[in-house]
Amino acid sequence: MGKKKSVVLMVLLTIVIVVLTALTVFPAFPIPGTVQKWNPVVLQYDLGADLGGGYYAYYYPEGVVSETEYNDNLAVLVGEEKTEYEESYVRVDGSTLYFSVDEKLGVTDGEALTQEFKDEFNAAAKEIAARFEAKGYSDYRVAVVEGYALRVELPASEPSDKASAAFSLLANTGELTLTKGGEKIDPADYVDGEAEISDLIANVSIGSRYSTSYLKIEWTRAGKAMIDEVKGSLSASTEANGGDSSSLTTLDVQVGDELLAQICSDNIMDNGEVRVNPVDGYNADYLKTFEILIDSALQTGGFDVTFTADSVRRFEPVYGANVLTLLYIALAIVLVAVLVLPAVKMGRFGVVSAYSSLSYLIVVAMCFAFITSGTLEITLGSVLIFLVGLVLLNVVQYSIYNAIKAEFNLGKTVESSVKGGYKKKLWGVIDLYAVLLLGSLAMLIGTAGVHTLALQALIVVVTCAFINLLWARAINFTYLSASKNKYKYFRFVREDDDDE
Amino acid sequence: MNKLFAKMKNVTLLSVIMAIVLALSIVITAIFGVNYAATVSNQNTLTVTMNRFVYDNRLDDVKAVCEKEFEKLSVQYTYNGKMNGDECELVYVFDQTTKLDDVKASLKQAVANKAAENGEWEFIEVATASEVLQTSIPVAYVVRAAVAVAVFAVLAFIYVALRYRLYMGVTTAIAVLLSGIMTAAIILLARIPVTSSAMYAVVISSVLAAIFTVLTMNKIRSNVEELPAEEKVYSSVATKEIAVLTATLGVSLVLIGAIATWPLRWFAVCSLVSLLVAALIGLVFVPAAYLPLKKAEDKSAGRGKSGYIGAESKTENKSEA
Repeated sequence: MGKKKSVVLMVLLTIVIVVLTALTVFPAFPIPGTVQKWNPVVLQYDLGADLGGGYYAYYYPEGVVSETEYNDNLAVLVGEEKTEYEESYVRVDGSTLYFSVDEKLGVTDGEALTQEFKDEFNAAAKEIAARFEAKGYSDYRVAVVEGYALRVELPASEPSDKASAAFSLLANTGELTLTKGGEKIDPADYVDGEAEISDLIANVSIGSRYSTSYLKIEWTRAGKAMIDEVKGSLSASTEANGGDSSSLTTLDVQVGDELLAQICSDNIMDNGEVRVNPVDGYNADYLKTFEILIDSALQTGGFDVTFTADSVRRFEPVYGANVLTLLYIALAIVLVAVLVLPAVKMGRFGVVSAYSSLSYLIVVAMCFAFITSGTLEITLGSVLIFLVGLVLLNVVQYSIYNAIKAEFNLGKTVESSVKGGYKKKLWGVIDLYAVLLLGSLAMLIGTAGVHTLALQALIVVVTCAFINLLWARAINFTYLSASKNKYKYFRFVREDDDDE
Repeated sequence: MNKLFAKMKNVTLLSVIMAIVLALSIVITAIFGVNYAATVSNQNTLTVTMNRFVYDNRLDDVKAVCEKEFEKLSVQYTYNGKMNGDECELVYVFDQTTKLDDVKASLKQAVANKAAENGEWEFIEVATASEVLQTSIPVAYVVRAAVAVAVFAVLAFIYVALRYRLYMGVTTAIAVLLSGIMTAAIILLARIPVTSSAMYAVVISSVLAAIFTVLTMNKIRSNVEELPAEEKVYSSVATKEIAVLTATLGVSLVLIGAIATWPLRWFAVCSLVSLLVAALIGLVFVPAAYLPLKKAEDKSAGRGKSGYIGAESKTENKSEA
C-alpha cells in the first residue's frame, strides 16, 4: 500500500473511531434549545437489579391489611364506623398485619388464624415463588412479609409493561377453567368418574412460526373429544365485528377472573392442537407469563386464598444510586490504562492495540445496548466478561508482538517478521477463541443471568476474535505502510542495521 | 523456594490440597450454611411511608431524623432503599436478629414531635416488618450453571483432544471443572457474602482456566525442541501471558472494589478469587497434571515404535541368519 493511501486511511480510521467512541461514552448533557437530552450508548442499557434497581409490589391475601393501610383507613373514620372497623380486624401471632374476623373469609376464627388459611397461604406463596423462578429473571426476590403477605421484586431491565403483567398475573391463585359462551365446561362430561381440568388439557407451551410466537395447547384424549364437540359451535376469528372479539362465540381459557386466551374455530388445527394469541417476537414474553400461569394452575388446581396486589413501585439500586457512576469511573480508569500501557510497551504497535481496544469498546458497548432489548440486561457478570474480553484482546496482541519480535531476532526483515509472527500465532489464537466460543455456547444452557452472560460472552468472543485475527492486523498493515521508520514502529533495535 | 516449587510439581499433593479445601468448604457450609449477602437473606425492615410532596422536598430531613434515632438506640442498618410510586417509601433493612419494636416506637415519637411543628410530617407512617425469603438463589439456576460448566469441560476436551492430543484434552477438561469447583469452594469456605453475582464469578473462573490451559497447551505443542518431558512441559507454561492477564484483570477488580460500594466490593472479591484460582490452576496444576499424562503417552508411543519392525524385515533377518 502506498504511503499516501495509508495516511488517508489512518486519518479516516481515526475520525471514525473517535466519533463512534464519543457516541458510545461521551457523557449525557441537555441539548441546547431543545427539551431533549444527549445520551451515550453506555447509558442506554437495560440494567439488572444490582445496577439499575427495579420494581416491587406487596401482595396481601383477601382479609389481610398492612399496618399502614389499617392506620390510614382508621384515620378517616369516626364514631361507630371507626369502632366497627377496629373490631373487624385483629392482630395475631405477633404479626404487624391486621387480619379480618369475617367468618366468610376464613382468615381467623375471631381470635387466631385458622389452620386452613395458614396452609393455603404457605402453599400459594411457594407456588407464586416457583412461578417467578420459572420466568428466569436474573435477579428477583419473593419474600413472605410478617408471615402472611408477600413482597416481590423484579429487576429494572424488565420493561415496565411486562413487569406489570408479571406482577398481576403470576400472583393469580385462581382455578383454571374453560368456558364457552359464558358457560363453564365441566370435565366430568368427558371423563368417567371425578374429573379435573387436567383431564382435558395435556400440555401448554409456546410455539413459533417464522417471527410469530403463539400459545400452543395440547389436549388429552378426553380433551380432544371436547374440542371436536365444541369446534363446530365456535366462531372464526375473522367474524369479529371491527376487531371486537366480544361478539364472538369462543372457548375461553381463564385463571380466576383473568381471561388468558379466546379460542376460535380457526385456532384449532386438524389434530385438535390449539394455536392461539399470536404475537411478535418482542411480546413473546407475555406468552411465557401465560404459559407459566396456566401450567401452574393446571398442576395445582388453584388455591382458596386470593391475593390483592397494591401499586407497583420503583426502587433504586440497593447498592446505592451512584453505583453505576462509580463503576463507570473504575472502568474508565481501566480503559485508559489499557490504551496507554501497550503504547508504552510496544511502541506504535501498541497504538494499534489501543485502536483495537477502542473498536472492542464500541462494538461490545453497542451490541450490549441494542441487541434484543430485554434479553441483554447488564449485570455485574456483564462487567466482568467485558473486562475479561478487553484484557484478553490486549494479551493476544502482546503475544503477537512477542512472536514478531522473536522472528525479528532470527535476523528477518521487519515485513517478514510481521508476516511470520502473525502466521506463527494464527492457529494458537484460533484455537483459543474456538474453545471460548464453545464455552459461551455451553453457558447458554444456564438460566437467567448465566444465560444472559453466555449471550454477552458470545458477543465478546466473536468481537475479540475478529479484532485479533483481522481488524488489528489490517490497522497494523495500514500504519506500518505509512511508517517511515519500521524499527521505531516496533521499538526494535538491531546492531547490524546496515543489512536492512 | 526450590523445594516449594518442586512440591508444586507434585500433582498428587496438589490434588490432596484441593480435596482438603473442598472437604473443608463442604463441612463448613453444612454446619453454618451459605453466607448469603444481606440482599438475598431474611431481614427485618423499617419502612417510612410518605406522600410524593414529602418525598420530593423533605426526604433528607426524614432520613436525618431516622438515622439520629438509630444512632440513639445503637442499631445499625445494613442498607437502605428508596422506593417511589403513588406512595413513596424509605426502607431501612436490618439484620434478621435486630429487634425493631423500640426503634419503631422511638421513631414514631420523633415523627409526631416533628408533626407538631410542621404539618407536612403528619402524613408520615412508620411500620416494621420481617421478611422471610422463599428462595435466596434458586437451586435450578445453580444446577443449570453447573451443567453448563460440565458441558463446557466436555466440549473443551473434544476440541483440544482433536486439535492437539488426547491427554491435553483431558487436562483442559479437568482444569475447567476444577477451576469452577475450587472457586465455589473458596467463596464458601472464606464465608464471602454470596449474591447471585457470585455465580458469574464461578462460571467465568472456568472460562479463565480454559484460556490459561489452551495458551499453555498451544505452547507445548509448538515447542519443537527435543527436551525431556518435564523440561518441555515446564518451559512451555504460558507464564508471561497468564501473569499479564491475571495482573491486569486483578488490578481492574481491585480498582472496582476500591471505588465502588460494599456489595460491588464483595463481587470484586469473588471475581478476584475466581481469577486467582484460574491462574493457579493454569500455572501450577495444569503442568503438574499434564506431565505424568504426557510421560505415559510418550511411553506408549515409544513402545509402539520400537516393538514392531515389520513382517518383511523379520523374514529378511531370518533368511540372513
